[in-house]
This record gives sequence, C-alpha cells and structure tokens, in this order.
Amino acid sequence: MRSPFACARIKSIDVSAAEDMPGVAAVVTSATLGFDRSLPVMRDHAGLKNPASPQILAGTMVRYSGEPVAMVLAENRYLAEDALEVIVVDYEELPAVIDASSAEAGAAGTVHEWMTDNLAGSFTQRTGNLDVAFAAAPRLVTFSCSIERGSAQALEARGIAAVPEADGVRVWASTQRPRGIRILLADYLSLPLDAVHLHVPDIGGSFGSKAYLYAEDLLITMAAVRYQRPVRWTEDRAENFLATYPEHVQVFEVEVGAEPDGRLIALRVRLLHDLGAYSPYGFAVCQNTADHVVGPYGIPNVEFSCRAVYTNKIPSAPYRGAGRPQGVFVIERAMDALARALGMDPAEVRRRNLIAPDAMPHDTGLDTPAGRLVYDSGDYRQCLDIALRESDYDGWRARQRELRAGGKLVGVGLANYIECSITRPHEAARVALRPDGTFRVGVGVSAQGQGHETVFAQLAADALGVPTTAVMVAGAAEEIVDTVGTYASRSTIMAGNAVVGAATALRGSLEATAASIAGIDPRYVFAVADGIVPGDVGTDVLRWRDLYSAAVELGLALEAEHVFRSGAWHVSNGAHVAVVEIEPVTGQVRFLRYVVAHDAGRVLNQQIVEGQVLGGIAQGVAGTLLEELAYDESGQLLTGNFMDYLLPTSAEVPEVAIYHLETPSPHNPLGVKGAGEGGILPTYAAVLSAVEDAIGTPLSRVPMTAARIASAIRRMAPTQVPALENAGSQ
Amino acid sequence: MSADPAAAEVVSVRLVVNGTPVEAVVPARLLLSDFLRHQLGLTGTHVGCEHGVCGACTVILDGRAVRSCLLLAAQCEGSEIETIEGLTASGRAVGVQQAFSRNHGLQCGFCTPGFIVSAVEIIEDPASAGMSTGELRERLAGNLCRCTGYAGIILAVKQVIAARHESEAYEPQGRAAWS
Repeated sequence: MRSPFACARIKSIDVSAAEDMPGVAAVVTSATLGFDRSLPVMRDHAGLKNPASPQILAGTMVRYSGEPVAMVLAENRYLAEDALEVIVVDYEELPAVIDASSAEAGAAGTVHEWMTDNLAGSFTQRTGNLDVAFAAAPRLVTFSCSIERGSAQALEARGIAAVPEADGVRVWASTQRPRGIRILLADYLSLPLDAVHLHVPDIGGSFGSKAYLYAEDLLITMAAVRYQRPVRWTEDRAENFLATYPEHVQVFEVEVGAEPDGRLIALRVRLLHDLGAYSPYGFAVCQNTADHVVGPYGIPNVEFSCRAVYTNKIPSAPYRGAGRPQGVFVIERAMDALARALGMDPAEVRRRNLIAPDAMPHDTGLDTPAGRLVYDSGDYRQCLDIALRESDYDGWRARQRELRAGGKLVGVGLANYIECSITRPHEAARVALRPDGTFRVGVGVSAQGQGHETVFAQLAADALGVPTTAVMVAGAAEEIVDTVGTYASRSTIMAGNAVVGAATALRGSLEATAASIAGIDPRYVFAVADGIVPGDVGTDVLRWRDLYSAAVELGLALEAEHVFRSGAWHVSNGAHVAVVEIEPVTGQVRFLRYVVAHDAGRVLNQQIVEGQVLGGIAQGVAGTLLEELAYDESGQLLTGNFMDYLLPTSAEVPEVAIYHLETPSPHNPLGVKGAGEGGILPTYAAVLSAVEDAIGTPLSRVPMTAARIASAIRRMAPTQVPALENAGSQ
Repeated sequence: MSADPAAAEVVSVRLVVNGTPVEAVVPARLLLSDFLRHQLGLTGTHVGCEHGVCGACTVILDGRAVRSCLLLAAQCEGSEIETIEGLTASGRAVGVQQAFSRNHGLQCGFCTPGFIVSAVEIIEDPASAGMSTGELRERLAGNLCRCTGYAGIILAVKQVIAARHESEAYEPQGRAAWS
C-alpha cells in the first residue's frame, strides 16, 4: 500500500480487515516491521549537510505520493490487491512542497519537520578568478534553463523473490549491484554474509534504476525469513511510476563571459537541484552535472555552484547519464546563446572553444570529490568535423533558407559532449579451465542487456588464444568476485581489463604446467586454439581437456584471478548533429537527419557500442520531446502510465548514422573508455538546439513537447516564423 | 469480510494453446497473460505494462496478434492461441529470431518475445512485400523497446521480409486472418 498524498500525517492504520481477507498470510506496517532503521543514504559528499534516508514503511509521516505504508502478503497478487482495498489509513493531508523554487524559498513549509528549510546541502566547484574574468570580458550572455529527464522505465519493472533456507535466505533480485545489495540485506537482517545467497537472473534493462536497495527488496527478504515461506513481489508499471526512483528537474542560471571572436573566458553556473523527498543517492547526480558542465571546451574561469532541495516527490536516483546530460545541456545551451549574441555560426563558436588534441591530457583546474578533473585523451575537433561533414551541415544551412521561404520549419542543432566514466576503485575477474576443456569467466559486474557476456568472452578468448565459443561468461551472482558494480559506463574499462589480466595469467600458468609435463623449458611452449603445443611446431597438441586432468593430478592451478584498479578519469567524447522539421500547427518534430561522431577509445565490439549509442539516443530524443513526469499542485503524478508518459516507438526515433573515432585511453591496457551513456548525453541539447533553430526563437526547457513547441510558434509574431535571419538576433 | 463476491467467481475454459487442448477452471478476473505465465508456465510471454501499450505480452489469438494483458482468460473460450513458445517450437519464428540475433535486435531481451510475435504477423502478411521502412516503423510502433533504439529490430524484420518475398517458393504460413 502506498500513500495517496504527497504530504500527510498518518493518524492511524487499521489492517485488521485486511488480515481477515481470503488468502492473506500477513500484513506488515511500520509498527510490526521490526526495524528502527531507514534505507541507506550515499554520504560520500561533503556538501550534503542534511541527508534524508527513505523510510522502509512510513509510520507517522508520508512525504511523497507513492511512499510505502503497508505490505500485504497473500497467496497471489489478485488477493493481495483485494486486501489493500480494505486497509484503513487515517491521513491528515498537509500542504505539499512541489516545485524546487518554492522549496528553496521555504514559504510553502518544509518537507522534513526536523529541518528549518528544505536545503539538503550545497557545494561549489571553481577554477580561476571569476570576478576578474567577468569584469574584463568584452561580451556577456546570461540565460536560464531547466531540464527534467524523466525516469528509466526499464521495460521489465523490478522484482524480487526470497526463499528461506536452514541457514539463511536465498534471493533472486533484479539488481544491477549484486554484491552491494547482498551486503546490505545481510546487514539489515543481521545475518552473516554467507547466509544470504543472491542470484541475479537475466534482467530486463536497468539504466541506473536498479542499483538501490529499495524498500521492497528488504521487505520481501525480511518476510521470507520471518514467516519462513517463499515470498515474491513483481512491480507492475503503475507501481513502477510511483516506486522506482526517477530523476527530477534541474534549474540553471548561467552567465557567460567571452571574447568578441567567441572564445569563452568565464562560465558561472548556478544549479537548483530537486532531490525529491529523500537523498538515497546523495549528490551523485548533481556532482556528475558539475563534472560535465565545462564539456570539451577549454574555459579558464569556471564556477559551478549547486543548492539541492527536498520536495514532496518521489526520491531521485541516477537514470542513464545520471546528471551528465544536464551538464552537457547547460554548456551547449551556452554555446548556442553565445552564437546568437555574436551573430556567429553555432558550429564555429564551438570549434573555437574545443580543446586541441595536442593539449591532452587537459587539466580543467576543477577539484572534484574524485580528485582533479583531467581529460585523458581525444580529438574533439576531428569529432566535430566528422559530424558536420557527414551530416552535410553547411548544405542544410543553405537549404534551410529555401525551405523556410517555402514555409517549412527546418532546423539544425548540434552538441558536443564528454562522458566521464567513474572507474574507482576496482573490479575483479576470474578465469578458469573446466574439465571439458572450455573456459569459464567470472565477473562481479552484472549485465542488463549491455552485452557483457559477448565482450568478456571475446576478451578472454583473445587473451587465451581460443575461439569465443570455448568461453562461457558466468552471471555475476554465480561467481562473486570482488566487485563494485555496473554503473557509470565502467564495466568494460574495469571488468574488461580484469578479464584480460586473469586470462593472460591463466594462459601463463597453463603453459608452465604443459612445459613441466613435457619436461621442457616453458619458453618453448605456446597455446593454440585446442590446447598447448609443448615444443616445436609439429609436436602433438596437449589438449585443454587433458591439460585439465594433468593439472588436477599435479595439484596445479586451473584458474587465475585479476583485480584491475583505477581511479583515473576515462573521458569519451563525441558530437551529434540533428536536423528536424516541425509541423507548425501541432509542433510535431520529424527528424530529417541525425549524425553521431563518437570516440569511446578502442572499440571492442562495434555492434554493441552502436547498440548502446542508438539506445541512448532513443531515450534522449524521447526525453527531449515526449517523456515528462508532470505533477499537479498537490504532488500527484499526472503521467503515471504509458498513455501519458510517452516512451519512444520505432515511429519516433530517428535513423542515425554513426561514425567512430578511436583514441585509446592511456589509463588502461585495452585503451577502452565508457560507451554506455554517450548516446544520451548530448541528445537533449542537440535536439532542443535543432527545434529552436527551426522555429527561430530561443527555448529554455526540456522536455519540449509538441504542445509547447506549437505554443512557442503561436506566440511568435507571424512575420518571424519564416524568417531565418531573425534566429540570429533577439 | 468486505471482499467483492465477484472476486471469488470462477469459470471453466477450453482453448488450444500452442496446438495443445487446455481445459482449466480459472478465476473470472484472471488475465490471459497471468493464465499463460502462472498456470501454464509459458513465461515467454512477458508483462511490461499491463495496460496494452508496450506489447511485450503479444500472442497470436485466432490468427491475430493481440495483447494478452488486455484479455481475460475466460474470454478465450474456444480460441486458438500461439505464444512465443509455440512459434519457436514450430519454427514459424525462426527466421525472425535469427535476424534479431544477427542484427543486434535485442539487448536485455525483455521486449523480444512480443516483437517476434508481432513481426511474425507482419512478415506473414502478403502486403508486407511492398512495405516502406516508414510503414514498417509505424506497423511495429505497437511494441516498445527501451534498449536498442529500434534500428536493429527494423533491419531484422526488413531482412526477413525481403528474404521471404524474394523466394518464389514462398507460401504463407498460418491462418491469413489479417485481411
């Protein structure tokens, strides 16, 4: 049972009728929960002064619509939902704080009664001297903008099943952080870690939304232990909208100081960040925004300050990109605003500010909680040039004039981006030879569709010198090696290099084993696809299967483990160009061209990298034009289903042309960088830029739905609509 | 007890699922998707939204692709249902399945069974021969995928359509109930 109110005091809860319903085994409320604790909060940020931890079940106060209040355990979902209807909760509804600005002003009251305002905390990142730089800047541009990214909406919602066992509990969970969740479950249930067995089956997408220990994970596992019965919960879509954490709005005030030729001297960004009712992920999202706000540009004076507030809405959590798209959005908005102010081409303004390839590694001068932000490598100018050339940017600019003269609203938008993966601290892998002569790779990172199994098999096979069909990659929970988890586009960098390390070590030890069996110098053995040749070409192959038996007999190693450690910034980059046409009456956007130039270091599997890019673009396009978490004044979600919250279909996503550049990262042996989020990062900025270019008036918010575009067109003077020239000046 | 008496109502149904006759007594309110998954163990039919938008639960009912989350099991009295398991076992979906695999038409795979079922209906439609990419995109817009951005899916289905209609020996399979 979930709270129907965004803010209310619970005066009483009566579950007696529900307990008497057919098929009901138990009803749990905060009074019968048996925990004094609330859910975990990430506290690794010095700026988070007032962390607020989500309640497992609300007892006296509910702070968002959808907050869990009671759990019914019944024979099936139909009977459980019947029972929910007869639980009687007496709520005293209180005024809710819904939008971030009024939360910051404080006049609407506080979300948390123990706080005097709604400020969870604040932080600033800066380099250079802003006051001096702005005083000296020949050109100044200021603007405000906002972006709300919506929710992950993995097509499979969350689920968990728990079965009690003699020594503990066995759990099947849809999580992207198996080890973290297992440790937390054991901790909350006061069980030894070995008593919590966690399985992670194939998962239907995650995009960041399945990394948290949600209340349901804990409640279901607790119930299995307490009632000694198997318990299962499957989230349905309606519940997913109320229970799985999305991202909320970020509101920005931006000041830009520049030279008349378009080079940026100073950038000041003030962010108001809406956390929702609690801070489960601390400042993870807004810190990423801070780390991406400079983008691929060399700007000597930068100040980014963030104030994060609580509101009476569902808590926020990372969703693919996790604050990075917002940072990209701000700096790309700044480039477009500057181009307009100077009457320059937006591509040229960007080119003049891009960091040159010979300036790598580039020190931004920004000290972040993860250390000094230094870009490792990349040819940002070449990426932009590829995107401009392949999209026929100049051609579209020329055609745009004719098309507009004929009444067609055609716009060209572009955006550059960087994508910083969070690597630290480590990831491990284990590679083992099996009795049948095949190899097994164990990793700790779990996959939800990213293709880990393919890439890790490919890497191990290459290092071992065997076909990929001889390698099987075990699921994360089957083989728990030391792991941090899948997020922030880190798996291939961290676990990929660990797999190579482990496979290489195993190959070395198996070659030594073969040499000792053959009684020859290990330098004279070499591995081939079906085994190891102990000696010269022509010598019989010692097959992997036989090597296994021999090694068992001799008591020699059949597996190797490798831990890859890194704290370095791995920085991918790229450029997107979008060409759109807008239907002037309805505001519908149609894509005429979409081009990506992308550099994620060495590409291990092109199909998988492109799949990540394309999937990210689809989410970003829909996040810009379709998907919106709209709340009414009382904090009710108005778009809580797929009829109102519009996911992109095959009819809305653009056909995308992708071009790869491969600048290897110097920070890992494979030379790879993150590729999981790059697709989504610049999409919001590129698409909004194209839309405003098409209608010839600046736009300041995302999502920019068709209705909002149509109303922006209607607000313009009729003479403005077909005149492209007016787009260049305000 | 204040339970709605209708909650306890049961009905008996007879239908054919993947060629096998099935007789069952089910709650009157039981969804077809839940019946397939929880009573028949056919968990290839996935449930993504339960309000008829995402298409993950698509099955073939009397020759037409339908959403099993929008039907009650009780409504299917006398019907023939093909699920992804049936289409796989009979080989009717194999071309589409291989094309999805070849073209990276799936990532997490959750939406895939629904897409395969919808795609089978499309490729068996003789009208698909002259379908443009835009028309195919519209036709597949009843299934949502959150991972791939659809490029691999569209390519896969286009390849299968092209292969089928190039072959002179092509014979439509299954019931032609789309007209």
